[in-house]
Amino acid sequence: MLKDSKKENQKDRFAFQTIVCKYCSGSGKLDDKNCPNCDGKGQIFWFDESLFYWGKKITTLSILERKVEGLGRKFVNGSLFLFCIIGFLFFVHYIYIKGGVETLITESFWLGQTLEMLVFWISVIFGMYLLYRIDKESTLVQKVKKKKYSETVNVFLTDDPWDEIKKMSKNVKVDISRSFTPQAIKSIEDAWKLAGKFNHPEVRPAHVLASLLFFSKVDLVFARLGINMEDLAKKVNRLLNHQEFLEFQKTDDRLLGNKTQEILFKAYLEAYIAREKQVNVVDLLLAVAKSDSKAKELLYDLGAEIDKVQNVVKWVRINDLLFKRSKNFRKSAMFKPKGGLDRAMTAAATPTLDHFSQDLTLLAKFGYLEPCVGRDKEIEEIFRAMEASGESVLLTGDPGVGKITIIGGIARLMVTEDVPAIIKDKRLVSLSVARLVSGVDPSEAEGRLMNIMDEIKRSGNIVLFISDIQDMMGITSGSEESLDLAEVLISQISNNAFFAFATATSVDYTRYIENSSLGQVMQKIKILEPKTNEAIQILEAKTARIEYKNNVYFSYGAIEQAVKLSDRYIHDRFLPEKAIKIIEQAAVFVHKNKGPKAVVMGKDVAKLISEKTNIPLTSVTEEEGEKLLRLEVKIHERIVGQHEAVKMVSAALRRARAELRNTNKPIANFLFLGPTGVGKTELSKTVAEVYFGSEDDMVRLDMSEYQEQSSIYRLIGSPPGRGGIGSGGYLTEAVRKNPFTMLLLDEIEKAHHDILNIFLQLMDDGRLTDGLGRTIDFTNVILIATSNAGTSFIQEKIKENWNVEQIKNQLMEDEIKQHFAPEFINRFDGVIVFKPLEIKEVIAITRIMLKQVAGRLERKGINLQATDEAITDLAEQGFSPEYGARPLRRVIQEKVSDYLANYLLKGKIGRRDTVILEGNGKIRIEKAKEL
Amino acid sequence: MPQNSFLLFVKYVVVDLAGDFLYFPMWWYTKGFKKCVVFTVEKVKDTENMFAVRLWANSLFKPMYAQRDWQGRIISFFMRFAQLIFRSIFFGLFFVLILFIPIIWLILPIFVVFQIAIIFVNSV
Repeated sequence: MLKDSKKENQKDRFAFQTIVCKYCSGSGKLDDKNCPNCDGKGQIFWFDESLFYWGKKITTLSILERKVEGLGRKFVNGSLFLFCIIGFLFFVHYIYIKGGVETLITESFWLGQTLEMLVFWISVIFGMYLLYRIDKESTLVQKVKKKKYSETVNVFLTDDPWDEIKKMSKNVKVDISRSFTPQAIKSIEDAWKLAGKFNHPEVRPAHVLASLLFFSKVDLVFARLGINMEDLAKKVNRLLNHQEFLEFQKTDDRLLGNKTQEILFKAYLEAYIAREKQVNVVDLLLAVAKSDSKAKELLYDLGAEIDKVQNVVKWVRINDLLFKRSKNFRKSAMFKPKGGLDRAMTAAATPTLDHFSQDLTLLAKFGYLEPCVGRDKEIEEIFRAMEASGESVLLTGDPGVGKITIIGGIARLMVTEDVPAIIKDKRLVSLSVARLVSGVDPSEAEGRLMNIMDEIKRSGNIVLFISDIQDMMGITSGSEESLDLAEVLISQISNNAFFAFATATSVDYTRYIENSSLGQVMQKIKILEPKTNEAIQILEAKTARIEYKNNVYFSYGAIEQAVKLSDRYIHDRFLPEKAIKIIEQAAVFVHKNKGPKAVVMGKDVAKLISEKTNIPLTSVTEEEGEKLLRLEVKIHERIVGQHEAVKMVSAALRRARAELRNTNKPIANFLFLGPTGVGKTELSKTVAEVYFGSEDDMVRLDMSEYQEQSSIYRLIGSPPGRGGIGSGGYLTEAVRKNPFTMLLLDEIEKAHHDILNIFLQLMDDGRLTDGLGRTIDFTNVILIATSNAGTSFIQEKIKENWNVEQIKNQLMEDEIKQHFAPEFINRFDGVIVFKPLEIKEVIAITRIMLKQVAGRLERKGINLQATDEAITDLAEQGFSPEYGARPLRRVIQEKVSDYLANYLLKGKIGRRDTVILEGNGKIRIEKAKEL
Repeated sequence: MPQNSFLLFVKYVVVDLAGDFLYFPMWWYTKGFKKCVVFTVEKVKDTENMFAVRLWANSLFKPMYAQRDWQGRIISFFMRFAQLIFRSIFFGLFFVLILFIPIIWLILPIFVVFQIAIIFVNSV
């Protein structure tokens, strides 16, 4: 009876077969009667060895019927309840007549034959009947089929299986409409009514989407997605107006279209996959958004890709789950003792420990510890390790990955006693090392610790927790051989006198613990940084508290941006903590700026991270776009000539800002070649000023200072053991503190070749590991290396009238290879040859430099003008074929600035005077008119 | 239409209700009773958890308040024994009370109907 020809479909775990009745084309009706072929089912879905169909009629009459039925049910139940109360009042009156409550235990009381008792007994019958009705109503709802854990293969039916279906047992046939929540049913009915309003002959997914917009849960999803409801409503309205139907029929018996029926089943499938009990409106939304191409396009247009919709729905479900969990938690927490005692009262008082610690189980019992979400795997691993060996556990991991939160999660589980026997009916106590050692010398601290250990052993119901356990190391009394605090602890842990949890960061673990005896007596469990999607889920679980505290709402974009951007741009902390910090700050920021009930959007988070890192992350404004498009003009205000170099740099900056670059490499790596004084460094400075905000916003390394191999440590820091515990280097520290910057490597050919190898990795992967083992991100720097290598060759060939392209080719093929390895040259995005300056360019530079002098004079109220003759004179004096424009600065200083300084000091020039530079070094002063 | 609604309403209240009322005694002694038993078992478990009888029985020989010397152990034993007795008594009492729930469930309809019948007969 079963056919297995559609094997390709069966690979998909959730593939299903849709079968439409050929006779009624899926409508379930033939000549106004139920179709005899399909028994009115019209369309069925075969999945997981069951047959699913939509069994609820949607017609004016059936909607009315359901409404009346609902009202009737409420009316009957209400009446029954009312009668029960009346009966009870009669009962109370009867007690009063009989002479008080003490008569309740007499036989004559219960066998009394009065009117009051008659009414009471009837009310009891009604009460019992009410109980029955409530139970019956709860069983009317059919739960969504439970998802199987095993991977079953879907075997499909034949193409015309209706006879087969008729023979199938009732248990296989599932009416999905019975698993829909009343709200979900109402949304379908509304869609049907809406189709009527638009005179449409059938209900389509668009109608369902439109009707869903009126449900608060769906509103919440769209609000989280940051979608404006008005825009959405307009678009949906347009979509409804553009529905086309082949034949126009009277709308009174509108049907659920085949596509709509499929969407209803897909909504059921969504609930099935998510292991929900009933099909909700959000499941319907998800089904419409996933399966209807027009709805998908509409949402996409509003910036809500299907992945986002799905993640937001997951968010709604996480919050529901947390709510349910907290209810269960409160119930189970009732049995956990409030004091220091266990339930069997075997424990003893621990006054010293109590003084230096905090009871985490007690905090958890009263709801002060947040639930730990998405860390079930880690907690399971910890429990497994504990049960296997009984040894204490040390959690290591980078700062902010959630070690303490996991311990908090364990404390909550200890409250509900959902833990291995080794820590059952115990309390988790967090010892404060700082309190332990404060105010006393090490020997007294050790005394305190010994005391605490004795108390723990005596009491027997304590699990100790020590955060940052490495802090206990090295606190020793007296000489070098004496025990330190950690060793006192180790002596107790090693003979399993009690159980302890501890945490340490990965770096501290490697540095202090790994090779110490502490590392040997505790089992290490590494807590890894959660992946992006896991971190998003963790954040979603945290938002409720932050939203409540700040009276704002988070959009999904905000959460996503907080995780993605902090992952990309903040490297000294780890997920999820760094992202949580960001959303906490974003909530405060938005509350302050937009007021209460505002929505925190992705751009708010981007703005915040932008402010923290100095990296432009917000979307490009019109003004900035304009600026970027005119970058060449802006740069040429300072740089004369060198068009190729300016063009390449500008293009790289535009690529970077438009996010079209490779984000695993620096923004750009350039090598500027050319003789001295042609503007290599000047161009770098200009870029720093134009793009990074200030000329000084760059890390400048004179590579001539790095000619020794050992200078590598100055650059990236020294590792532990090299004369200390390790340190960060000049370069790595500078970029770590300001990751969005320009890195200028002057005269790179002078550096030691080992140092050049370091830059190989930097240019390729955009990261560098410093002496402390930290990975420093270089993906937001512009790396510019300048070099004078091949200068004589360039000058020679210029004299021979070679063009720049020819010179560059020859240089790359031959000259440069003497200085740099080919793989080094290959790493650059562009090698730019700066050609030597000509006199006309030097004249232009002179103008720019004089403008700078004029700017300085203007601040003193003095006007500076220069004749063309004067400018040419200065340019000629300042130009040297060998040094380019470098002598020009000195010439202007000597011939202009020095004279002006003397005049100023002598009082020859005053405010509003005009200084005119003329040929042959003459300076004329035009005095301003007296006022 | 309003008349139609009204008819529907009447049909629902009278026809459905009447049929339902006849089925309800069946439910009371089958599905209803099953649910009542499940509820009783849950309550017994909760009560056991509240009085922790098993926990106290298991730790009968463990010294209380970590008093591990022999005097402590002896005092603990008697203390625990006394506790256990009291806890068992209370648990037993609660247990019996809870056990009344299914019994009352079974007897109640018959008793009530019987009482109503007697009152009616006597008044006639």
